Amino acid sequence: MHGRFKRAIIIIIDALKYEFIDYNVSLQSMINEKIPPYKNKLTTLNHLRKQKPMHTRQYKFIADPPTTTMQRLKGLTTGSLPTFVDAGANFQSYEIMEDSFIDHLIKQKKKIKFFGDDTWLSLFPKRFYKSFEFPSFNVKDLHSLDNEILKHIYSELQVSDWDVIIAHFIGVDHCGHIYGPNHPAMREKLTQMDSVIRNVTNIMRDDTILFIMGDHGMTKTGDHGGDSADEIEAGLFIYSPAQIASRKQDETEDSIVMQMDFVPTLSLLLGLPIPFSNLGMVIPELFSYCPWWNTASNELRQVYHKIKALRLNAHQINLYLTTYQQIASDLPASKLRTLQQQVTRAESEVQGLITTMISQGPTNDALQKLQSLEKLYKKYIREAREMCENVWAKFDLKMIVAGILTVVLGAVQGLYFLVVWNNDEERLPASAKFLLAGSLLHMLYLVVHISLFSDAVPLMAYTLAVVLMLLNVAVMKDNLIKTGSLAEFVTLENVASTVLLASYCCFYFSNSFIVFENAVSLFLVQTLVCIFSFRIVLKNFSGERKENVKTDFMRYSKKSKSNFELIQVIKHPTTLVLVSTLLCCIVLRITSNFFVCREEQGSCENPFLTFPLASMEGASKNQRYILSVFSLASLVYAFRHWLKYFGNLNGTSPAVVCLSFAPPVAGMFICFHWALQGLPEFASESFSAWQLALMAQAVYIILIASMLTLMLFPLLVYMLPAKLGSTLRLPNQADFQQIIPTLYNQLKVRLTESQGGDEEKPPVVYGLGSAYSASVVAMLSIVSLLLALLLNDGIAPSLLLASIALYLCLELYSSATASEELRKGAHIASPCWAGMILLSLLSTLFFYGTGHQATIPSIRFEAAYTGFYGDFNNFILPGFLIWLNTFAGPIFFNLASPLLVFWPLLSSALVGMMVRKTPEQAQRKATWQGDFKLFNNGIHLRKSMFKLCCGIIVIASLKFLSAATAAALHRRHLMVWKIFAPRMVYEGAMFLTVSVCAFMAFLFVLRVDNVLSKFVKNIATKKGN
Amino acid sequence: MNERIQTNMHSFKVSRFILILSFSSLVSSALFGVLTIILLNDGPLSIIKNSVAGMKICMVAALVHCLLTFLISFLYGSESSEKYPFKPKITSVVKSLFILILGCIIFYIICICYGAPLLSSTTETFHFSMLLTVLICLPNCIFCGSNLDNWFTMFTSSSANGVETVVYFTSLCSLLGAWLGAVPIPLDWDRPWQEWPISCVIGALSGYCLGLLMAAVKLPWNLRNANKSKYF
Repeated sequence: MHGRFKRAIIIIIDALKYEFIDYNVSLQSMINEKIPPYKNKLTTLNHLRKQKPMHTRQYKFIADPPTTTMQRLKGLTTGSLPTFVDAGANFQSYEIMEDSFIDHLIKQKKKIKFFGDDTWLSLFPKRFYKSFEFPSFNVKDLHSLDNEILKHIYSELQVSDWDVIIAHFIGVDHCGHIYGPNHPAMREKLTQMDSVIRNVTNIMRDDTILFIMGDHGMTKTGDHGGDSADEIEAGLFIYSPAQIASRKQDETEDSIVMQMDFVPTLSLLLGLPIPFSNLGMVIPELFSYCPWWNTASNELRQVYHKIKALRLNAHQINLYLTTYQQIASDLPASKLRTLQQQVTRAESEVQGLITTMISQGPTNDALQKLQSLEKLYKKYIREAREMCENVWAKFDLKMIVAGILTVVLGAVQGLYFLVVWNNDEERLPASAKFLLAGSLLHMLYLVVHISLFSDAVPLMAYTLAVVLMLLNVAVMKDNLIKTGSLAEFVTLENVASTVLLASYCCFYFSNSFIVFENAVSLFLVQTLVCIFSFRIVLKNFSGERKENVKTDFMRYSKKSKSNFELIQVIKHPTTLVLVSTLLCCIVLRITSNFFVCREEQGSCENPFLTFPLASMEGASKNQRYILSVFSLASLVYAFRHWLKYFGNLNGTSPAVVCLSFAPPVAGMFICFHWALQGLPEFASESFSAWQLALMAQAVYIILIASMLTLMLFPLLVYMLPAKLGSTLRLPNQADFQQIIPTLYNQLKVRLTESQGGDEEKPPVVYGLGSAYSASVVAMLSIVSLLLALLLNDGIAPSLLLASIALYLCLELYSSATASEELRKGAHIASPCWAGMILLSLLSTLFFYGTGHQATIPSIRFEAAYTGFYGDFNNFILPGFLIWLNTFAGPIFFNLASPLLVFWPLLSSALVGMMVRKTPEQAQRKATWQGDFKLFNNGIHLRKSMFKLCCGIIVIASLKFLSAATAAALHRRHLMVWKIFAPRMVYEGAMFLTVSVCAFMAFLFVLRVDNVLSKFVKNIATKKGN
Repeated sequence: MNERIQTNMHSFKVSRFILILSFSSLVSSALFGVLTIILLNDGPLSIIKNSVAGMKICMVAALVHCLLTFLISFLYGSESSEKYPFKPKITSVVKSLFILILGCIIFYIICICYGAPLLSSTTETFHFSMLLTVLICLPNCIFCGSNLDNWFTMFTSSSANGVETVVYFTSLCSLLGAWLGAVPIPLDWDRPWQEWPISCVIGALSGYCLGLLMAAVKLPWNLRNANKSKYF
């Protein structure tokens, strides 16, 4: 087909929603301030439409989800359908290998000039005659990219050495991400775009056509990625100084075109072949006018001209489908045949019509026939596209089954370790090795199978998984019956928490529960906390019944002095339990202030804490900043106070020095960083990029250095120098009870053994009673600061809430389980199943509580820019930072997981007050050993840590299993791509995160244990000398 | 011989009391079931149209049931409940009132914590917490006295037979019912009863009803077991 235009200008304004270009006349009378900032700003378009209706066209430009820029660019250049998984590759833009109109332009020796977003360059490397590309990843940068384009574009436009100009402006999208559409910055940005359009249209010549389009829309909060109407409705505006259509556009109804329709339209308008894999349909209206054909004279010509374009389009699609079927053969054959018949029939009709028209001239019914042909072609193209959409949303059932079986196998295997290794054996049972080897074989086989013959059904993997599962279950059952550990397991909190976990897993099968999962997880966590406290209360009273004497005494005192009753009630341990439970519940409830909305939640407004500080104004900005600073300071202080309380901040070992100074300094730098980020735009412009990032970089350096120090010297204990001889000259902080000097009989024995009954006193070591937990807490304090930095000022207070909740939950958990252990007389504290579930629920709650949702658009990409600026060469670092931001809650709680083992041994003040003591227990208090008790039983320590790790992974994999099964079951559900699939992806990522964190915590504890044993040995030898 | 007759008389009285209590629990369980159905249906008492009025009706019903049970235990069971002697003292009444108010406040806080809206529909939340107080704390106050220790002791020991069994089952079941009542709230069925706190009220009420039913079954069962152990 002949090219109607010689040259084309394509201006892509990222996130240009249809609402932005649609001029609303009814708003004209309103005062300027009252009009929404994004409305009626592109006045040039309206002006052109009024003045030259035959030269302009305006469409709703429907994008295919996912509405992320790279996917859209792919659709806009190749005309093909996008895929879901492509969305993940948005960071790592890959070159487009499919046929695109860019490639056809190059083949025709046309010259393309490109301005703007460098995503294009990675999609089409080395295609452009001249390019001015700029990195687009820095969301906070509203202007520099657009201004760079404007610096060059006008001069380059006027030099006529080009055929196609592509300009991609990014400012509107960034403005949406940072401030949302309802912000004065948007008005400014759109006005700037308007001036660009005005200038470009003034320069344009007659042989040029201009496309102004958005690649996607934006939601009311300015985000995109999903498939809501707000996100997919972009705007398209077409203009040329020459006439482009033979009739005015119908003003009354919205004209809608698909985004892939742009590809064939542009190709045919420029006289290029349509890209091979295109599935779009030409916009017929644009082919209704042709000056050389004199289409204006008669309607017949107009329709025929349209049909020519449609015919080429249909043949291209037909060729594509036929070729595709030969290679992949997954299109339904019957449907394809009917489609092919449609093309053949239309073709023969066209030929027949032309023949009769040439021989007999136009007959009366020619127009009618042509119009029906036009409909036929349109129908064909539409149906072909629908067929492809249906077919390509295809599910590989055999792989789904294999995947689910693998997850089940993993969960069962973890459960096996949890159950079978319950006795006091030091080594793993022989069956474990066999089962582990079987699982490894299964994984290996799956990998080989997928890489070699991915089409066949992995039958061997199925059988292997099922057999291993059955074996696991058989061994577990055997073991449970033999040891009777099942009866031990059945306690109130274990049963209740298992029921809660099971119901949580069931909730993944319902879309409404996934949509409101934040509220659901809050509800379940509260329930579990209440169950724990109920358990403590029950325990207190069942203990009371045993000590009848005491009760009688109490009754007696009550009768004699009723005034004291109130005091007694207040002093009663149960009151404290209730108060701390209520406090814990309230803290968890406050977390809901950090929940962000997802689109399906309906009437929901994002809390003001989730907006960036820069977008706020006036007093509220200061208040929020002060709130953030205050909560960060409290966070630092809380950890510090805890460490001090247990005497772990004495001495001058590198770790202690580092922990005394690094957190406050880092916290201060974080506050400065937030202050810089909160500066209004005009003020932050006076800083250069590196200055803005400096503070965050300082924080990174401090935190990484202290993390390394802590890994090298993980011990936070201080041995009083032996020279002092007595405890009279203690360090300053030591004069309180705060510091618990711990004496060890064991050490004493060792010393006396080596020294033969020397009169020297046993060494005094500070903080040895909390040696393990102090190291974990110290690590946690440093990680929490890192997370606070990445979460940004608004969300960071939720980390303080997380710490308080963790503390209170651990106290309640310890009170519920600790005294139980003591009563049994066992020194063994194996981690409790209910505690692991509590931890898992807390981490899910705080995933939502740190301002996230299980949807693709709610990923906070801006986290990658804390402390970094400009463009990234690789995507590991930004990916890591975004991961830290997204899973801040789970990371925090799972790194704290070893505390589930250590905390009950610490018997901190609150636990002591909450649980009614028996005299026996009071006696134990005198020889308090804290978690150092575990040191004496190294194998037990490793075993319980290993079991803890296993338990956490089992719980996470059970949740992942149910999310995956739900997604597989609902694969034809209307909401699968919006709700179930993202949930599964998030749950998978959560599973990985949780496993990695639990494992790291495990390794860290082993490291502490290692160093601690060296330390103790050192004491012994020192004394020996 | 005389003693034998006396013990027989005593055990007869206990059995009579237990059986009457069980029967009354059965009847009131049925009545509560009917009330739940009436509340759910369209009509002048529909809880869907006016949740506050519905909750008031529930409270009155629970109050009436409490008084009825109290009357029964007063008429027939004065001897059996010697464990917790009933002594109407001003201080204990005041204390009970204080406990009720405190219970209401705590229930209110817990409702909010579990996710009830903080600023909107406060009247409903408050009425719901009052309802929970009436269903759970009030029977405890009346039958276990104002001493909180007795309450928890009752929960830890399952041996008690008599009014305590009824209170034990009703309070546990209505708490559980109220908890379960929150489950359908997030579902997208668009039913009017999914509105907070209607489903929870219905849950608590049916829990109470179920608790009464369980107590009605459990009371004679316990009695039989107790008699067995006495004679064999």
